[in-house]
Amino acid sequence: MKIRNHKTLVIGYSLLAGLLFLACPAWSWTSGEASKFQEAGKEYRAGHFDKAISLYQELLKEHPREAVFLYNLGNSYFRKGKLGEAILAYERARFYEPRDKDIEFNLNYTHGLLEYRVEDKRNWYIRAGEEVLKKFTEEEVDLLGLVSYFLFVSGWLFCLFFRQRMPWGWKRKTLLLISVVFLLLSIAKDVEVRVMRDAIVMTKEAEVRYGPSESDQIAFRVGEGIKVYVVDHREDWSRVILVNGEGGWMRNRYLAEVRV
Amino acid sequence: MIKRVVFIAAAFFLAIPPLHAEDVRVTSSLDKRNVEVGDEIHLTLRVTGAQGNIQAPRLPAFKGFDTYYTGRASRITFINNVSTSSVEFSYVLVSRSAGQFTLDPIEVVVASQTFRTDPVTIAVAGAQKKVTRPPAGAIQQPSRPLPSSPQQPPPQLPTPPSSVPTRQESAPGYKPEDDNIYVNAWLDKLTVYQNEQILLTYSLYTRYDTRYEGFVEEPEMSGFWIEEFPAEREIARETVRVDGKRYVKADVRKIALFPTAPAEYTIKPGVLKASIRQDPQSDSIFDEFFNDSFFSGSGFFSRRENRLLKPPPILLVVKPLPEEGKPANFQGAVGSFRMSATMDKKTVKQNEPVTMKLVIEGEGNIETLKQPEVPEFEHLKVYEADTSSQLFKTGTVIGGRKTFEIVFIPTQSGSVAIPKLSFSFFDPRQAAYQTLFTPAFPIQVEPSDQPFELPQSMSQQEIFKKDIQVEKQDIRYIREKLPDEESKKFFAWLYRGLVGADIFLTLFVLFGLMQKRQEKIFSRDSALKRRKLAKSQAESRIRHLRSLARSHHPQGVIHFFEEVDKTLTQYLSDKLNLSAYGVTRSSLERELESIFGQEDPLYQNILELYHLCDESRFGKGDVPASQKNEALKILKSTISRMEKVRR
Repeated sequence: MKIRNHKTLVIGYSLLAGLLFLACPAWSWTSGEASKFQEAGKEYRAGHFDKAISLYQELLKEHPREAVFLYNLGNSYFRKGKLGEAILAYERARFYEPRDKDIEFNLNYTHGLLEYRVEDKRNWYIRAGEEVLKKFTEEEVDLLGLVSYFLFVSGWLFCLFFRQRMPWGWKRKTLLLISVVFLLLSIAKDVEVRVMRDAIVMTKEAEVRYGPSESDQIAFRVGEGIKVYVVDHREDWSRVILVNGEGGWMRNRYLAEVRV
Repeated sequence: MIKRVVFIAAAFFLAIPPLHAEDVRVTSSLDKRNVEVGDEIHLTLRVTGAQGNIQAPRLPAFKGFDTYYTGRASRITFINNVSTSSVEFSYVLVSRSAGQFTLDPIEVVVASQTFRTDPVTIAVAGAQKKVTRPPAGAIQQPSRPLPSSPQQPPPQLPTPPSSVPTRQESAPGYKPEDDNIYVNAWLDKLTVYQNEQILLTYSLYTRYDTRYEGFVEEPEMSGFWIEEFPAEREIARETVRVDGKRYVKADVRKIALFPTAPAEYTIKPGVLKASIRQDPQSDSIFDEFFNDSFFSGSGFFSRRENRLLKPPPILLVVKPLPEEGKPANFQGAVGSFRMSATMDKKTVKQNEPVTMKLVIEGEGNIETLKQPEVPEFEHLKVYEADTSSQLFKTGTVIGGRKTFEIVFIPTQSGSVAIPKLSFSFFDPRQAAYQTLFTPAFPIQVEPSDQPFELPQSMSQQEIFKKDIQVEKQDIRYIREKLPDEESKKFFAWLYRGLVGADIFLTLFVLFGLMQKRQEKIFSRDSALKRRKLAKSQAESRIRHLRSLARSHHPQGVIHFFEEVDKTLTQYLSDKLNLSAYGVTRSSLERELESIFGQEDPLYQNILELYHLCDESRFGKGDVPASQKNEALKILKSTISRMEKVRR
């Protein structure tokens, strides 16, 4: 490594940025999507919620991660009285737009109308941790990790290029600490998304059994719209845990996972 | 770094002052500063901006003055868009001697912080006047001698007020250290309801010539709302007999207590200080003869001794208020109250304010009384305005008056009736709830074109703004605009870009690290470095040779074969770790022979190549051009074979 010139490094980074910019996806709403969205809104305003639902679902086939479509779909389901579907749509919308006040409000409001209520008996720090994680999307958390890693690797490159040792001062320690925090956050988010998968009960009343078969005893029943965490699968059964600490096995057909 | 973070955090928290302490102000004022001996001066101590209950401050001993506490008054006012609560404590100072006196700062404790007033100077002229008695309802401050001569002739045991069923004289089995002087702290009731008033009295029993010096340790009374009790004129004293001994008894302090929650309480009464003349008074007829006012007090030549007097703790049971018969509008008032209300106008114009003055007075904790609830009216806007209260003594209990001002603004013309407002309280004497009503006030509202607006005095004040009330709830509306493409595009670009950049930089770092490692190894072993770099250097030279091979000029041919010779020799000497400058053809041949053997075609080819080079050099470039390609071919196959050789 004989490059010991700041200019070289700057040029290298500029080229990198330029290449990445060229790799930027050229994407925009098509006129068909825009008109379908307008039409869905018109149907909603006219009270034709079934039509609005089908239009939003069509849009979601192309853009399954679009929070606006999911939110509007949730509202349409709510107006139809399908609270389970509405909560699922709001939860999905919140998954992609976690800090949206309207989604949060409608979700809480719909929760308030449910027949069943599950008291959250988890420790305060688990609840607080989940609250923090829910405020960020998976991509945002990953982005934080990528930025900190970028800075970390750039620092290393700087050392290699200029044969200088970065002093082990507070700046480097802070950078390292931030990187570690972001890494932990990223791991926690990954656990939240992939290990403790949120799911919504989609039937009026579902039985939760002690084992993954009809011959196992019923542990308890949960109602439509209740959120559970799916931690395991066995054929057409899912092992679920509720926030009050209760758990058991449910038929997959009674559940819909939030993460698409 | 941790130190830095801790420092920043500490600086951040320390930089935030406690909100309640920031706005608190304590001031004192006197009604006059030039007086004659025996004149009264009214001292007002004002505490503004404080939240919660503040105990009446104990004044320091002012030289040349007797001091008396006369009560308190509180008020919530609105000044410059801010609501301000203020409490005023009133004292009377009676000048005893002539001269120029400076009153020391008065300390007031608010929310664990101590505030001080400024010192004040008073000029007392020498004209001797008859010393006035302190006003009624005043409590004498400490450092006053207790005349040992009884002025109330009939000696009697301390007895509770006749209306009070029970009281605690002293803890069972309590023995004072010196039974010639002790303090009995007692309650007028031992079982009370929540928020019912109790009187805590400190009775000093002494057989000495005694001076009461005040409290060295204030009583501990957590769980109580406390009001200092304004006492009768001077400290009252009487002669009593206890267990056959004759004492002078004086009630030195009275405190009204209001328990805030039902529980069993243990009140620690604190520690009092008294000074005595050292010789105890005997109970003889001669002592009675000599113990007149002339000999009492602080004799000029007497020696005095300080005594700390610690009364035993007192137990109190506080019962909860009964649920039976509790009115819906009950807000916690306990005592005995009266209520009256007046309106400032009977006829108003539309959108013009009319004010109701509502007064609740009686016995009980006046400070904590809440305004009766005013319902919402359809054509009448209601605003709560000023509140003020004043405490005073009523018999053996604290009482007072609280005034609420309520502003009504009719928004429609015609006859409007302000309906009755109700106030409920629990009367502990009757052990029952009582409800009082104001009369209904009919108001004639004349039509007016003036639009509704808050009165000027209220319009700029946040306190009068009404809170928004949510009437019904529903989900929020759908989104009617497609989300912004640019922000999504930017985020996607940033995300992908960072992924790519991180991968690229990681590879770059890995490459750099490998290079660094290789350099480190090469620095330790130069032979290895030559061996490893021989091929790349030779290949670089071969590229140069290819360009030379295009030349057909005799000098070019010579130069080409010279370069071939150099390249081959350099490569072989690097691979065989021989000095490139000291190597001879014969030493090279020996080395190659030892590696390949004489029969190896490559060995033969290398020799042939050297021969060609020599031929070119000495034959002045008279070598066929085809031989150049042959030379390059042999050179490359030599390198290829040599790279496979492990030595």
